[in-house]
Amino acid sequence: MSLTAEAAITKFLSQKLAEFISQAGIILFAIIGFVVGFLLQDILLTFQIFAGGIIITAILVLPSYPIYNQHPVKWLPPIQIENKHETPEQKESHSNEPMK
Amino acid sequence: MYNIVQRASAIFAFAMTVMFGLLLSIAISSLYITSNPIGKVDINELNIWLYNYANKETEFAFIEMNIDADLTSLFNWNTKQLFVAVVAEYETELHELNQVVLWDSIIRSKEDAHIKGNKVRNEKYEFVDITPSFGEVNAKYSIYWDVMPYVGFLVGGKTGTNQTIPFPVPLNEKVYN
Repeated sequence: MSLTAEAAITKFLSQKLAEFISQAGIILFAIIGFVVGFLLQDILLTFQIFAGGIIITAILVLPSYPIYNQHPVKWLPPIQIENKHETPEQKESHSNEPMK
Repeated sequence: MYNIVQRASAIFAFAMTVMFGLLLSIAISSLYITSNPIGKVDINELNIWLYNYANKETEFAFIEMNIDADLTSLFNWNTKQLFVAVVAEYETELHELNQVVLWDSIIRSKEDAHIKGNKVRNEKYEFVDITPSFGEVNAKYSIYWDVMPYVGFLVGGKTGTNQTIPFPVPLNEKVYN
C-alpha cells in the first residue's frame, strides 16, 4: 500500500460527496413524494416522484464529472528497482515461477 | 463508489432500502386516516319455502331488501377497492353465531361507493341454515366492508342497523317429491 494517510483521506472526499448526494437525493425525493402524494391523495404520483428522483440522482452521481476529480490521489513516485546485484540463480528462480 | 458500476449498484441498493421505508410509512400512516362509513339495510320481505336439499326438507329463506350505504369516506389515496357484503347474523340453540352472506359487491372507485340498492334479493347466494330448519330466530342485517389497499394492511368493519325480523313459518307445508 503506497497511499499516504493524507492521500487516503483526499481520495475519499469525492467518493464521500457522491455518496452524500445519492443518499440525500433519494431520501429527499421519497419525502417529497410521500408529502405530495398524501396532499393530492394520489399514490401513483408518490411513486412517479420517487422514480424520477432516482433517475435525477443517478444523472447527478453516475458520470465522472470534473467536480468529482478535485482531489486526485497523489501517488508516491515509482521506486527504481536495481537489478544489478541479483545473482543468476535468483533470476532463474524468478523465471521458473509458475504462472498464477 | 470508485467506478460507475459500483455507484449504480450503491444507488439502486439504497433506493430499494428507502422504498421499503416509503412503503412502510404509507402502510402505517393509512391506518390513521379516519373514515365514517354509514349504511343501513331495510328488509321489505322475508319468505321461507321448503325445498328438498340433500334428501332433507330444508328451509330456504328469500329476502327482499333496500340497501343504502355511503362508503365514499373509505376511499383514500391507499384504497384500491372495497369488498362489500350484506350479512345476516343470528343465534340458534346449537350455534352462537351464524353468518350468511346475502349479497356482495366489489367497489372499485369512489364514485361507485355510494351504494343504493332497491328491492335487492338474495339471488346469488342461498339463505339456508346449517341445520335444515331455522327455528325461531331473529336475524340482524349488517353491511360488512373490507378495504383492499395498494400498500399495507387489510382492514374491515361493519355497519348496519339493529333491526331484527323474526323468521316466518314456511309458506308450503311439505315438499312433494
